[in-house]
Amino acid sequence: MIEVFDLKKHFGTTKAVDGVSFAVQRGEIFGLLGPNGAGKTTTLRMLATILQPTEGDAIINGYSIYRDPQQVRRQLGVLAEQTGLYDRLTAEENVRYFARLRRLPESVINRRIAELFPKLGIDKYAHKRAGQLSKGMKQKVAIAIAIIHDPPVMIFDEPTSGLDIIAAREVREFIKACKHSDKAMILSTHIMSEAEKLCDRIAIINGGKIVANGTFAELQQHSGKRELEEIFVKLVAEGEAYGA
Amino acid sequence: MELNQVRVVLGKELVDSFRDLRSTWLMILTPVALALLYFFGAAYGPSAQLEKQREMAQEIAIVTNSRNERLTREWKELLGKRGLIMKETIDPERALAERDLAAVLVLPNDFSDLLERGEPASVVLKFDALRIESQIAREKLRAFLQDYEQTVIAQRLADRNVPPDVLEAVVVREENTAPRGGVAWMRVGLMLSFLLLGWSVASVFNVAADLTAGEKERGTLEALLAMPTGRLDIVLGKFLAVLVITLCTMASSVLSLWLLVELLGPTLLSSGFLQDFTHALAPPVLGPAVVVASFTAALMGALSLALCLRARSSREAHSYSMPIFLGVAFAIFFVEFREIGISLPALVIPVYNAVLILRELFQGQLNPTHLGVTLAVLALCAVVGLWLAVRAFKSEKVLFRQ
Repeated sequence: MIEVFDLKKHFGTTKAVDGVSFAVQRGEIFGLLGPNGAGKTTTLRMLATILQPTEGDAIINGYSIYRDPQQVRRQLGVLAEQTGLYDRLTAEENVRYFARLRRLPESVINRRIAELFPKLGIDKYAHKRAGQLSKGMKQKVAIAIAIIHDPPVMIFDEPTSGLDIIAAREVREFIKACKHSDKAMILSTHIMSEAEKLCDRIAIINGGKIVANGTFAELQQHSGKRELEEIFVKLVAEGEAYGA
Repeated sequence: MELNQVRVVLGKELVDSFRDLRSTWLMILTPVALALLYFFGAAYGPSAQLEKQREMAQEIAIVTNSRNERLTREWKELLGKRGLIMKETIDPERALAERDLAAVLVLPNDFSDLLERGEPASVVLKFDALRIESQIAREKLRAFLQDYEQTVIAQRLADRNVPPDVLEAVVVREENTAPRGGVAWMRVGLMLSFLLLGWSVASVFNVAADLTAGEKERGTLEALLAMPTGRLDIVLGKFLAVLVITLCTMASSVLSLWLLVELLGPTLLSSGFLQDFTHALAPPVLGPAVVVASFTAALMGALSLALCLRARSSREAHSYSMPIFLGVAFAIFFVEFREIGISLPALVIPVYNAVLILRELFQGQLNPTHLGVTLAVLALCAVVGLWLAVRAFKSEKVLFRQ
């Protein structure tokens, strides 16, 4: 579903991403862990076709991010820490706007809003301006935007950052639900417990390179540590590459 | 390019902008406030007051005795033709002090006798220099006395068989060749140019800053760029939104001014100002002026999108607008004060050419070739501006500038 080949992104002399490769299958959650500035967001931006790779390519649901970025965008739903909502538009107007940009017919938009808003618990806030919503509520609206077109691939970039416990839990439940609907997912997070609970496989990225990639058990075995936080610290410190 | 996508972006940007109180204030209320300020400035400003007072009649008194009665009776009618009303008052000087009279003319008791004898007669003209009404009455009385003096001199010369023109070595006949619109440009067109061009630039940048740097700042730009919408469609949608809002700004200023002139003009404005406003706001003048201003707004809109996207925040983007706003204001006043003629090289300088054309329009001397060249130059520059904006929307360095 997602195949990333030797992806590189250089900003001048800075190598933000330096030869990242991995694959994500249908119904799998792939965790991307790394310290600040490790290259996580740049990698996700390249996959979302917001940035163009300096070298390498990625195939998302059969489309190359390099050759066919427009098609790639149609396959993707993105949920980031910054909700990307327009404060002066209502929750529903925000969802409709992005759905129209995705060229969904009005009948489909109406149907999906009727399905998603009660499911996400935002139907009461549909006509409230996004600027007046709580961060948790905004994140739910952002979820509606991300899945309005029912994409096969989801990218989550620190989706629970800054959320309270209840809201963060709801987002995690949503990610689990996506897994059950057979979507391929990449989750970038710095919350170790979140990665541990949600991800089927985890890649640790540091200095633009993947230093370890495997299931939680494989990472435990390789590092000799039990907790993901300890594994993370050890692997980042050693700069080891494992299973990439 | 997909028109439907352009329409979606345009629709959202319009709703978003019209809900922004700052934009609403800048694009609707401020032009109305400026129009009000300008109209009432024209109605109650010093030059308007002078003009209105000249059109009105002032009350004066002539202080003399019964020996001059026949003369003052004759004068009454002549003074009336000059907009002066002779009033009989017991204490004229007190009436002048209490503002019941605009001026007082004191004639010596032997005024008529002196004139008959061919001797000079001194008169005293009393007025209040602090009152416009009194200054105008003084002007009118002096002009009247000057004419009367000429008549008396001519009579005296005729009595001595000397032709009156012996006293005139050079006869000057003045002719004002400036068209009515020339005056209108100075008094009305200049301000309208400022409203149409200067204020539009402020509006353009305000909206463009919100639609570009504002999106960066609020974190919505990435979400937008991740959509399967072409960058050209995004730019065109935003560009059209900037243009529509700027046209609303123009419409708001022009309509409010037009309404004020229609409703209050005949009552509050002097006939000169009313005539100037009517000339400047007439469809054959205002129509092409709005077209020129719209083309300028299109150019500024495209450039402002390209420029403001480079800013990291709305605040930084707004800071770009000030030099451009000042540049346009400078061009308007430069054209006014330097009395620059129109040449082909001047017509290819965008925005400056618009100022020149507006002057031509408000002066009632529009040259269609000048208008055509100006519109073509502005349109071409707007297309270049749009190309730059699309490039900026495709440039990672611009979009993710740190």
